Amino acid sequence: MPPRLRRAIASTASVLVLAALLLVSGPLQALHPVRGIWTEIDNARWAGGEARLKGLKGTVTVVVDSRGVPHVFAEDELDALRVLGYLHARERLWQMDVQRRLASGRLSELLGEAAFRTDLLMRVIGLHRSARSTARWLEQNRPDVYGALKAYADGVNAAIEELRSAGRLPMTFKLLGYEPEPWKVEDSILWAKYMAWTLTGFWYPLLLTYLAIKLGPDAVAELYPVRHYYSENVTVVPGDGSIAGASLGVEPEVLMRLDWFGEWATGVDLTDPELSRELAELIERVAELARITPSELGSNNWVVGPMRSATGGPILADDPHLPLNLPSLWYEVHLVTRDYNVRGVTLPGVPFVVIGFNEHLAWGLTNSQIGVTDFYVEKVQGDRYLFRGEWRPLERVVEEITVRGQGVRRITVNLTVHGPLFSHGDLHVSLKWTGNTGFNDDGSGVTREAVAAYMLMRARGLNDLLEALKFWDVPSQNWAFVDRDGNFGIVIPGLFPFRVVRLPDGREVRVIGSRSVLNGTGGHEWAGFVPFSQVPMTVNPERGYAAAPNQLTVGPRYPYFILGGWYDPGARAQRIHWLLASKALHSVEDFASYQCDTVLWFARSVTPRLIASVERFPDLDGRERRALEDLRGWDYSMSRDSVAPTVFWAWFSALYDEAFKRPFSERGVRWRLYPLESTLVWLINERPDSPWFGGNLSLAARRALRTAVERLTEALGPDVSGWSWGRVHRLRIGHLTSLDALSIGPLPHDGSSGTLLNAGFPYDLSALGSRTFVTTGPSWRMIVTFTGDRVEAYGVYPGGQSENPISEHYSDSFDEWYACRLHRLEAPPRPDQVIDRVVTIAFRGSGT
Amino acid sequence: MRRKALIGPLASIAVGYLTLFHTTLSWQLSAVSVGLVAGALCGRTSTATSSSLLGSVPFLAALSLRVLDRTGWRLLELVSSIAGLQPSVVLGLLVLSYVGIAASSSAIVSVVLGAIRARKGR
Repeated sequence: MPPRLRRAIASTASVLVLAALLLVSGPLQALHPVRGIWTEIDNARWAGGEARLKGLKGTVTVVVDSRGVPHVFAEDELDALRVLGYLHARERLWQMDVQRRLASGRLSELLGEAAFRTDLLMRVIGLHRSARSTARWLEQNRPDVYGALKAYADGVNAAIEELRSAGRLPMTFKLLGYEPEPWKVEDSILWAKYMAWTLTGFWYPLLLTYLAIKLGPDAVAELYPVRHYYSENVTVVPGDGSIAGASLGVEPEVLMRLDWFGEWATGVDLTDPELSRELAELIERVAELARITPSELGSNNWVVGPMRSATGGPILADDPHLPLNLPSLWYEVHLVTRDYNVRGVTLPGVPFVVIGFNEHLAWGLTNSQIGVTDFYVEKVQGDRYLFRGEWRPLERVVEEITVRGQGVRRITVNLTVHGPLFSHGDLHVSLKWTGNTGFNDDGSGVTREAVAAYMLMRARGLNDLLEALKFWDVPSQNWAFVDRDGNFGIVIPGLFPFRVVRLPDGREVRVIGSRSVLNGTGGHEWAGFVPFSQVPMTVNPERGYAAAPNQLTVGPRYPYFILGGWYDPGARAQRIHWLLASKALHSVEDFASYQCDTVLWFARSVTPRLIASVERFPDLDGRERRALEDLRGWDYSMSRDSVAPTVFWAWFSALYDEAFKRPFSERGVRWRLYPLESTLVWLINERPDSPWFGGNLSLAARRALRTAVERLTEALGPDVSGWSWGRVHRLRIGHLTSLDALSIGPLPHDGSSGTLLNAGFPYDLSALGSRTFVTTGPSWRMIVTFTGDRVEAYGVYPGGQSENPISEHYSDSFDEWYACRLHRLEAPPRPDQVIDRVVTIAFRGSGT
Repeated sequence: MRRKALIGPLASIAVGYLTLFHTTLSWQLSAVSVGLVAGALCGRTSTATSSSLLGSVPFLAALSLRVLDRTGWRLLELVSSIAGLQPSVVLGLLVLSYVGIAASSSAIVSVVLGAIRARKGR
């Protein structure tokens, strides 16, 4: 072979090999032995000694304890928050980045087409626009709060710069092949807005409109009552709801009987077949875009006063039920400055303790569930819409969404005075939500919860709490509190918009929220927000306790008729009220056991009735008899090792289908929007001859039992003794990337959606044998009591402080959480008093 | 003559070390750099290829240190499980890629320079 030909062959072969190897090696990019994923080994270790952080005025001492919780000691608050930003970024940078991308509609840049719909929805809703306005407002009106947010952002950026320049960005950045942008003040506000949206951005007025169109208003009134069945005696605020000097002005019984879908109430004629068809189609499209499913989120909190406390001081318990993910939603921290000594949980990305305590006050939140979202049918012609007799120009915002691998897509968001439009053909519905309207209802989106959170950390008791909560705009929450002076109670602040509605009899009533879409041309507008002096609250109630597990807020004579909202069915409220009332004195240990209580309250009344309705049927087979036998001996505890909860759940689920599947489907309801458990319980207990049961509960229950046992046999095998609840009800704490290797579970799990140990799980037989897991639950459990000058606190969350999967603090608290144990939360005023300190770092400034 | 023969291998090792530890280049570009230097400094293709293999030593050494560490191996397992592969397969692919890129780059440069030299010689 001539040398030239040999060279040509060798050269060509080498080029081909090189090209092939470069192609193959692309996905291995993150495995650089020096700057690749291996840097997580260094990131997982805390280095003690001295560290530099730009902008610090003084020395900040950080003591990291055995669970990776930082105790930050600084003279100056801004120094403490700067270090907090640094610590959040050091431990949770990728989580923070993904969260802000989710909230601002920028996930497609990373994930491509798969995330486009999510981004589209977020761009339409426009939390990023409201966050920008809020940041500007804070800068001009509350420089103290803005300064705190800025110091925090500077700390985050110092960590980003440090990690980037050392090639030590978290591995998820390397695997996905991108780097974080600098952190801005509005990014912190954005995440708080997103949390607010997930907690109060209810779609229920749309869903109820849809159901009213499909099923008729009478059916909706029966199945989805304004005030849930079995909830009247356990409202958050005890009593009938009346407030001295203010009244509803109309008998609540009258209001309850009205058809709130009628044109008199909404200005929209749902009996118009053309309009109702288009509206139903639009709602189906929006529901598909927003992936709307009935929420299983909720939370518990309750307090007892000194007279009901075994510690002698008030006790508070709180556990917010939110999506359980890794990295965890929360990050624990203890901050000591000259202004305060506060401990609790923060949201990575936000520089304030959201749930926690200081030396004077402890607080914990649950969602109030009061409706603060309205939907308006707009009259649009071309680029104008009609409002109060005037054709106004639509505001148009062009949003650019970069989709990985596909370039930039431009979408135009149209806005009216109410908010962004969802359109379907010629029909346009706008979304009006307090988080976007802002506290002046001017559409600016300026809300002030950052001011409240800032004030709260330094609150010295009840009065300061109330002062701070005047600024709490969204999301409206049930704030349970106890203080060192022995005060206890629940305050429910927030922007509660009310409308003045003229009733068919000519009287007027102030109404909060809606159950239907409203006419947007100007006759159904918000008239104002409920003043703070009239927001619901119960302070030092006589009975010595208060509880707010998402049930009805106030009695029916509250001066504002709460029409909109989506309350919990009330099983948890009934149970905690029973527990709190059944004992004279409660201890911290009692509170811990209540948080993990697995009794399903409404099963107590329903189970005997269901058994009685079928036991005389002669055709029951052996497995059905055995299943009923298990139920007869049941203590109503949804324990993972028991068979009875499985039988109950399957039977109840099958009964749901018996009652609603066919009628809903025949009337064109396209997805599973069954009523709450309290409604089915009410039908079983009070309406056994209901048409929903075909006029005979016994026959419906018999068919449901057969279906349930057949499905259980199919999924779990023929041996009834092997049908333990934990085989069906499994917990999975997934990583934000959904990767199994970075997730926990599935594991057998106690509880259910209706137990105090909340474990969101649908009543849906299709969950059997599928990848349906419990993915929501107590995201943080906390108990705090004040005895004299001493504060005693406990807490745990299902994860760990670090997002680094090889850190010992990635999920080190999970086992404690799963076993229902709590950590003692120390909050000493000096660094040398931290008992289980592992590493001490002294942060000093590094010039400008 | 003997001293001259050491220049290529030593330079390759130096480039391998410097590009890995003191620059922000990707490891693929590090391998290409090693190959370029080996190919440019060694006259024969076989010598250039051998030099590029020597130039891969810093990479192999650094990688060995990573995966011999228990936590490092766990990280490799994690990443491999994302791809649904065994860690040893991923490791093999990685090593093969670095060495292969370095060797084929050196071969290309060496052949091209050889051709240029031959043309000049004529």
